[in-house]
Amino acid sequence: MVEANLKRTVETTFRAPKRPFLSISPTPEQEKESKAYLNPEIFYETYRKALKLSVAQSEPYRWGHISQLVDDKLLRDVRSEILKEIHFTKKETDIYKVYQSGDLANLSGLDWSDLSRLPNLFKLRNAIYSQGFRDFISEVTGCGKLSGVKTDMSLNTYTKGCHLLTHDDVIGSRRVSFILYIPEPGKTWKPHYGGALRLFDSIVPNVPRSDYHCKFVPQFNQMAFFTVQPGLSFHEVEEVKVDRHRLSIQGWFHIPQRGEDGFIPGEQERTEAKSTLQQLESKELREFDFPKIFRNEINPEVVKSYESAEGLTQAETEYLSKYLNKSLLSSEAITKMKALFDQECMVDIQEFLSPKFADLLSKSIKKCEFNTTMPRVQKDVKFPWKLAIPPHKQRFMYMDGLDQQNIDTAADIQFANGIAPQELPNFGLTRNVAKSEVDRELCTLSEMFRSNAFRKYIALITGLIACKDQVLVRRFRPGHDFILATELEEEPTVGILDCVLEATMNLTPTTGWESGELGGYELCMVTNDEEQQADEKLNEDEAAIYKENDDSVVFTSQASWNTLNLILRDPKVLKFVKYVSNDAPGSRWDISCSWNVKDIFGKDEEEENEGEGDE
Amino acid sequence: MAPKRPLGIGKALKRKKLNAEERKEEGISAPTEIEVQLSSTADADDELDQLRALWLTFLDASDNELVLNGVVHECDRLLRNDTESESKLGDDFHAIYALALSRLASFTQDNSEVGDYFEAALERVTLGLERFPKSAKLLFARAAIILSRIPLQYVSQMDLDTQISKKVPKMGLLVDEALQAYSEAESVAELADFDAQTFDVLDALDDLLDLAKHYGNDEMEHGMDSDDEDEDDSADEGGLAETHPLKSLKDSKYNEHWRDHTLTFLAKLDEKASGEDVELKRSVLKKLGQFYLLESETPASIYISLAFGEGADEATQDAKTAQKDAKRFTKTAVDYLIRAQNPDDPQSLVDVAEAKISLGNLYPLEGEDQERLYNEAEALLETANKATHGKYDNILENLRGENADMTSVNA
Repeated sequence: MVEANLKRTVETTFRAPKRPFLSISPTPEQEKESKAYLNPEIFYETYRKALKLSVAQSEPYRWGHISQLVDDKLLRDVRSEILKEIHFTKKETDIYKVYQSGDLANLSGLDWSDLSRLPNLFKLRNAIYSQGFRDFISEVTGCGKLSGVKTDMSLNTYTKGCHLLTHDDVIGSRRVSFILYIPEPGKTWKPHYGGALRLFDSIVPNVPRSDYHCKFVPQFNQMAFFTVQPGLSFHEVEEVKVDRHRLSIQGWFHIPQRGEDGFIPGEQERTEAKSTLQQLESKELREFDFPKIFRNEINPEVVKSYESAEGLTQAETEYLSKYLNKSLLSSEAITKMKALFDQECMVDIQEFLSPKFADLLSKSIKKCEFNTTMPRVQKDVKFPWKLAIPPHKQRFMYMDGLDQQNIDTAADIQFANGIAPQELPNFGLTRNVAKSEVDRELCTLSEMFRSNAFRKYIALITGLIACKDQVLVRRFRPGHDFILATELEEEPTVGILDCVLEATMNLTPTTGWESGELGGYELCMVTNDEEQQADEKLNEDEAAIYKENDDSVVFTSQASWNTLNLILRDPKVLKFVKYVSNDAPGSRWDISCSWNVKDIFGKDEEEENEGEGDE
Repeated sequence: MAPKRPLGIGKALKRKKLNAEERKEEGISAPTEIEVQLSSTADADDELDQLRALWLTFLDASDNELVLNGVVHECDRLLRNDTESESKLGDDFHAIYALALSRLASFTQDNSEVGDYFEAALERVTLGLERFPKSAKLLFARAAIILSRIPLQYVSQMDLDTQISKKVPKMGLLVDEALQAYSEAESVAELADFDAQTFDVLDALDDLLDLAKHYGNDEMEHGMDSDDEDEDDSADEGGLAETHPLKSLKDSKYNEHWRDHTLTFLAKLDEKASGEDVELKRSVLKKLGQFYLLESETPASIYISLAFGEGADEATQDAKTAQKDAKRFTKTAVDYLIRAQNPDDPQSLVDVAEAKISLGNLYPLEGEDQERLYNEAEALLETANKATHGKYDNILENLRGENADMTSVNA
């Protein structure tokens, strides 16, 4: 089930066409035929009752599956037909990578020459949306009547590396989600191939737990289904880990439309409004987000010293050169970087750390990767590391220089947010309690990023005066971690620039990330202009797909070793870290710094121009 | 006066685009810049050093047609400005020009153009050889061009029913021609000529032989991380007709040629100063390890069926001979793969572990040798599994005889 409300996409193909929910109801003859394409046993009372009970008792929310649903020969023919006739396009966003067909909703609207290419698929579609099968799904889920005219299906094929991260499928008038699996017939799809459907329990509605509750390993001719439940039906498709096709037909049953049995005037509008509200609530609900995006104020007296700085003192240079490449501390190098930053609002600095410090750190990180077991579930993430949640927004490990906190339950989170002692980050303290060499070195480096000397150095390179800061050490584990696209969440504050200065110190010691196929890259893109946004509003249930090398992408940085990316991010810039593939040679490691900077600037040019126009 | 307000990357990009559009309207287009890195010994003012650097830039980013066009145009220009009596163009110039022309074939959809590019490339080699008859670079280039011509110009147009014809010759003849050029080059080459580009020629031959072996098997190639324990792998030996142009490549002599040249290549790398070409050497050793593992497959399966199949008797002479051959090949494979180990590359540990398991399978069940080899393999896999965060969980489970649940699994 591809989440369809994405507004952030990178690379690949074309902008998807608007998806019309058009369909022609099957004729009575087709309806009769359709039932014959499904396994007759599923309509037996004993089967229906058992399945209904199983769905009612299922965890973490109401879901079920049916094996051997479709006539075996028909489904094999459908598979051959799909592979022969249908073109799949790779689509990749911050939340998924998948090969997807066009929409099948209006299959019966195709002309006969086209339809003749997909006769078995047409039969299957009619069977799935037949009255008999809709009644069956309605009964076992207890979800109420389902529409036969508003059909909504597409084909996906997940090959090695493809995935779809956590989402709840809540869009518009969807009532039941389903996936019919069509991997290679006659072969067992094994758990270690990946591609399982994973279901998530929630801490509170709209906040899924970080670890999945259970998973369903799909086999040929199995259908998994669940009632779409706002804020609860969180699920994901595990990354496919081997060179095999996990082909599936996915779709939704919608609420009955006008003229259909079960149509309730106003229900569609209410359901759609509820979906929209749920999306908004989910977006706004930041109480359960960890780490908090919170930049701590720097002593104003100290800030003044950055403003008056004309260069680094000898003592500052000595301190910084313990960590940083000496050649980058010269006034010539600073002037050169400043010129670049002034022009581009960003600068990438290679070989940023001194060879000695970098070598030490590289060895420690590699040692950690090779000799310790990577935490795979929340309880295995041990202090000083913490886990970023919730997983429909982010998942990664981090150190923030703050004390240990428990975020397992809603009560724990309420305590952490409202009652627990509040403190300022102190990486020195964290280093003292850290047991491993790599954690201690990363804390030492983080301390340096919070030093006065470094802030002054940054002021010299950017001309920007830091007045608040946040530093996080982050580890993005293969097969687990990512950050979905987010905008800056800055409240306008007098005396503070609306842009945020951000630095990522790339510390990934492994190689092979350059192509981006393994994910783990950091990407910034500008949000669309008003015209495009209006278009998307009309088209809210369709993923927005942008062209390859899209103009909206303003910055990409692959996981790498010893590079500092410094950018001045304006409010409309979205940023994400792409999910790290299970196939990656190790974790993406970095230190992420952000600073609010003082607004010491004159009017911007646009304002000036507007002023001139007024006159 | 207050300093100018910074824009942020989003607005800066928007402004840049606006400026570019304005410049476009004014008829000015910004030139595309490509960064070319010269080697430490190169002279920045020397046109041939610049060409070499540009060619290496293309090889590092092989899908960049723009850079390739740059190489070809630069070759054209240098050739036009050259005087035959006082030519400054060496054999490597002709080799680069020829290889660049052949690489243009990958960027066209028109098959007749593909053929034209390869013809032009081979003609350039011939012209170069007239001037430098004993040039290893040109002879290696000829081998490389012929080997890349086979898949691009011929195999891409074939199906299972294709017959040998004037238009589509027996591919074995072309490979013979390439091998002859390679052998001549090998005999005259200096140590420095045995580099990554030369190994690419042997790699191309290996790929081609693999392609011929699996031709007609339209199922998707499954990776090593998949498993085929319950699957029929016989499609590997796809039954090509005798008259099919690729059939001749199934002759085992080509595998032997590949092995012999690769062993020579490795010996040349060993002759070089230590510390050089570490990665290249690992690739060569890994390839040789994989080759010997493949060689062991047939005797190993004969031994296993004679020793453990229906009416098994491992004491028969046939079983003993098969076991001996399989052990010899597998031990050789293990040796090469151990030498190819890279402490930073978990896959290289897995390669050794898999070879040790294969070797263990050739010893008596649960005997001392088998247990030792399995234990060594398990230790390697455990290290690799930690480094890759559980990528080899299922192989380890199989090795320990544990089973994973195949249906709905609770976390």
